[in-house]
Amino acid sequence: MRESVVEQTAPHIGLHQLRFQYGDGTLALQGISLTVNAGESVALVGPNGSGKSTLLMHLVGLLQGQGEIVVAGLPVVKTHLPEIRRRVGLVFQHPDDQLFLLRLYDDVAFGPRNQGLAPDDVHARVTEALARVRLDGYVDRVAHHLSTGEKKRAALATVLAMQPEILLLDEPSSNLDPRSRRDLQRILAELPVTKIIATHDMEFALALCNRAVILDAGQVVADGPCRALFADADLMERHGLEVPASLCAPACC
Amino acid sequence: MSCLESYREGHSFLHHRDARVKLLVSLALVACLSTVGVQHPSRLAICAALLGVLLLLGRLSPGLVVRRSLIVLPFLLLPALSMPFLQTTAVSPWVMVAVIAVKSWLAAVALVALMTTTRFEDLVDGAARLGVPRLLTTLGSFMYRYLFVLLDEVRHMNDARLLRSGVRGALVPGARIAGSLVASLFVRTYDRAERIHNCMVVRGFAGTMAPIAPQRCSAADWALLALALVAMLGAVLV
Ligand SMILES: Nc1ncnc2c1ncn2[C@@H]1O[C@H](COP(=O)(O)OP(=O)(O)O)[C@@H](O)[C@H]1O
Ligand SMILES: [Mg+2]
Repeated sequence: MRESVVEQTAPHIGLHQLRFQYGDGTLALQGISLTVNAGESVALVGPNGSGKSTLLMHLVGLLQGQGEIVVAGLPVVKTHLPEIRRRVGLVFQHPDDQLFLLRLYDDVAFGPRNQGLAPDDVHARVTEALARVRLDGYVDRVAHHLSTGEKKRAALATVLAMQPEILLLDEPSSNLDPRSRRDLQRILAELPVTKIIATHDMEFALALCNRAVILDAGQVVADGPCRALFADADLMERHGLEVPASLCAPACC
Repeated sequence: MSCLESYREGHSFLHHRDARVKLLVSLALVACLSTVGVQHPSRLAICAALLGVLLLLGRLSPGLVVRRSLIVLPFLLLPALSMPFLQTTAVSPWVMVAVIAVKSWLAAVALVALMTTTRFEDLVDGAARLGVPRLLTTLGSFMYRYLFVLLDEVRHMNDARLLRSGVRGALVPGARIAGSLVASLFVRTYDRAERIHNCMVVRGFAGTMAPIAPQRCSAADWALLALALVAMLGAVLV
């Protein structure tokens, strides 16, 4: 994986007073300010509908709200989108949406081909990405016949093949059985890139991130070390979350 | 579903040929077959022989080919069959029907041979390389892929409906339920298509499918092309 290239001055990711309203009037983001430094792994936690997915989509310019966003040192504006999308990978929640072509190889090759890489380089990228997610030998598999765990890893591979320096993951552990979840956790832990993981799986967040940003109703309600925030039963309760079992005092379980 | 997902993994001579060559050969074969009339038994024979060679080169099992060609056949046959009764000729209409049936079936077999030995993506890519506008080929691959998306959604919704109504085996829902199913299918598929599009855009998709690895025609590709063209030329001239 390419080493992150960041100017020390500009934050890797910076949001200032980001507001966004969906067409039907839903105020999904209500003034979000946030900075993330290169190399950080940040858990973006919050109950369903708190705005996690909406926020991630802003970081790659799929949605445009009011406010300022800087990603990979570049303001998120139309002219920068191709460059930003080269450097930032977003893994969506539903792998079926990401695995678009019939053969896994072509799905993983999709991004590199769009970057205009030569066939040999495309091939190298595909091989490396599939190896990273432990799906070597799956190139010829038909994507819609994989198991959910395999699909999630395959979807991750389609993004890793672009060698992003920032990885955004939307509910990566949802619908996974314990073993697939552990496998995915291990794979993600090995990736030396900046990560933002949107999830309400507190254990998963705790295992992969030092820092948590808690979102509720489109607002940042807390930002700090995972352990401290997640152990705060009041805070968790107030925002529709749960103290993870591993942080529970024996009395509460 | 299985008749759409038609590519069969294999390592035959035909599997390894350039998609462009296979596309040209199949098209030439179908075009030649379409000119076969009652008065051209030798033309039909040559086409059938070439087709036989292709099936052998593709190591395709006859059972598979027959099964698949019978699925395709109605689409080719129905329009063709109405023709003899619209024209008045010296030959009995039944002989004409027989000829049309045979040549349509052979055309179906040619298409099956092509689809079974060539990945859809390669086919689309090959068509683009032959000069079909990328826009059209991209559209083609989208339609193909979205067909699966649509079938997926239909299956999920049908499962959910069966579970809730508790009626097992009722394949044809009542009209009112069917109506609302279609409406929500439309919405769901639209949402899904938008999400898929987002996934593609984020990975640098800029409107048309980027070309797949440029294939170079090998000597074997040229040989197959030459064989097919000579056979077709022969068939037309005989
Ligand atoms: N396409 C949409 N149109 C209208 N409202 C939406 C749309 N997508 C999400 N929302 C609303 O925006 C809010 C935030 O949603 P989302 O970002 O998906 O939350 P999360 O990912 O945290 O579950 C929710 O109230 C949700 O109902
Ligand atoms: Mg979400």
